[in-house]
Amino acid sequence: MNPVVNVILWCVYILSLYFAVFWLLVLVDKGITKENKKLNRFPPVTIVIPAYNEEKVIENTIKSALTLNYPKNKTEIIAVNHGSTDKTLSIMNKYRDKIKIISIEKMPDERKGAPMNAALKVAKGDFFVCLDADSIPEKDALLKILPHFSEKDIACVLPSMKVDKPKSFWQKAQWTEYLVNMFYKKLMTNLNCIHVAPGPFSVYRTDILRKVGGYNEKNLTEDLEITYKLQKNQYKIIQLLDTQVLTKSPQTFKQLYSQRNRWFKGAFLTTIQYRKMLFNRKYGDFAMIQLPVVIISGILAMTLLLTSMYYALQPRLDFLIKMRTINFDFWTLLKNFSLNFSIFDLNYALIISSVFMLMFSVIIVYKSHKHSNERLLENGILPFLFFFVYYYLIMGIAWLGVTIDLLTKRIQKW
Amino acid sequence: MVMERKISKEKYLLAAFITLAIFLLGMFLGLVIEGKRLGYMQSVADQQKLEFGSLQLQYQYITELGEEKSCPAVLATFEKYMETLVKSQERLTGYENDAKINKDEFRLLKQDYTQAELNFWLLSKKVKDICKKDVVNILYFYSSDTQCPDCEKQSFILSYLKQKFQDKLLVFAIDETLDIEPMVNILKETYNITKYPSLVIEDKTFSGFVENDAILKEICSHYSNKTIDECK
Repeated sequence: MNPVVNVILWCVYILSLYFAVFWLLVLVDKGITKENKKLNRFPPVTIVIPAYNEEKVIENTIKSALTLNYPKNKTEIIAVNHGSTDKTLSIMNKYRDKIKIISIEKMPDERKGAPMNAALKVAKGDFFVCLDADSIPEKDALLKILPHFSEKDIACVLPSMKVDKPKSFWQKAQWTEYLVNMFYKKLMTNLNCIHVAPGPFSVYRTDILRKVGGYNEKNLTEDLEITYKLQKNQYKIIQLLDTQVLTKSPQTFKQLYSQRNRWFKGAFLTTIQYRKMLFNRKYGDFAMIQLPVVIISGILAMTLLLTSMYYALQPRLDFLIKMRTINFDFWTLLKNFSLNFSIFDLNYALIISSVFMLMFSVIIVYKSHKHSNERLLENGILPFLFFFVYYYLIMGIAWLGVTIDLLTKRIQKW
Repeated sequence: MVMERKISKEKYLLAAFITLAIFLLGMFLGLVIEGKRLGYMQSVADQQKLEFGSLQLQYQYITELGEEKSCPAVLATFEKYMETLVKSQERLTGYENDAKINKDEFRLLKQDYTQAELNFWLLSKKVKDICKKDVVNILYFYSSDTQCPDCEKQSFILSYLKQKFQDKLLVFAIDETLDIEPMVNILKETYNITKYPSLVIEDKTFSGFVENDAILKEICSHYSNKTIDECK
């Protein structure tokens, strides 16, 4: 066995185990808080629908914003057309009397931050919500989310994001992934170290958003960037599990890959941008564990991918080379095959750590489903097992793509 | 705005402690298993000594009392014992590579096994004569050093040929790095072995890696029965 590969692998095992143990400790220490709070008064809310070429779904999105359970006179809906070249604007105009419409040009390097800022400039609500064209919040979402702004320094409250009507295999695997992610973020709430408030129906305090300077208009992941900004300014972010927003997720592997490539690239670049916060005691657990994890998780995923590929392919290749020396006479080998196995042959150090890792994963996955009120094998066993065993490989592939993209871009620059 | 944010120091430490504990547990278990492996291989070695003693007794029985009709039974026993010896040798090599603290003990055991193997080799020559068995002997010198990239391939070919010829072929593998056993050096000198892998097929030395077809041809040239299936 290659000793370098071996050492890297053990580091990966130890780090993964460490993080699993750490989050379990967080779970054991504070548990999962109950969320059923009641709203006493109805503050004004601004719902923003940013749209770039969304003619197919924009109407449904506007309708779902109009039918939310919240007093109509306290709700302001702003649809922002971000330089669409299709019929998005004309569909928006059909609702002119019920919603406010802003239309802005799209500069080539502008992203979702731009329409969000345009809306933020004119928003009248105390609270500011983004409703993406591909997401559907539950009807009572605002009623359930707003009571959690119990303190002045709570900048943002996040609903639980779930995959809407998973059909393809990849969507079903993501369905499980999202549940686990939401559960992790719930745990992060305990340490006040959430690193991303995803687009779909995250509710912000408008004044805080303005105070920190609004969104970055060019960032690949403007939702992650705004969260870093809030963390930097010492605000709190809360994740909920019992309020849900359904969102469309990538259907094919290719779509999933490009989504993750964008996410990871954005996360990596933003973390580099905010590197001064890294391990800075002023930012508490966010700087001590969350920021390093963004970077380390990429490295972990890539090493796991590369080493598993090495271990999957190397023996096969080796075997083929050997088979060539005996002219591929499989029959003789097969005919006389006998198993030479003893229980002493197993690698017990590896088995023990794997058993613990598996046990911890089972606990986390089980708890994720339980606290989100979902059935464990909702989508059958296959996507579930896939998530459990091989999902990190997909993450590794996406991170590898990010690494290659970043390296080649750098080479182009010089 | 300056305020104190929480750092969960005790959780970081506790997590590190638990992680370490799990790994120490794994390592501890690994060492316990290593001890068990050693004990197991030793008991197998003891059993093999008994088996060899029995074989010698059977050989004496045939030679001294002229009981040649017992040859098939003796040969079958020989083949069976030889097979278990080869299997335990393979296992021992794996265990020796994995060993963390008992390397020397495993090395001694390996010497034990090599002696057993050479005993089998000598006996096989005698039994072959008296029982008129059509069998070819190969002494295979390999190096457990990392500097022998072809050894693995050569081993694979030989174990393939063993499976092909079954009891008509005997392969005795000798690790040349086992210099604590004087017999190894004596054999190396006798057969003029200078590089690894090397083969001695019925007293004829082949230096360096030998292809499957070449070995096959050489083996077949030694059988008195020229029409056996494997050589066609």
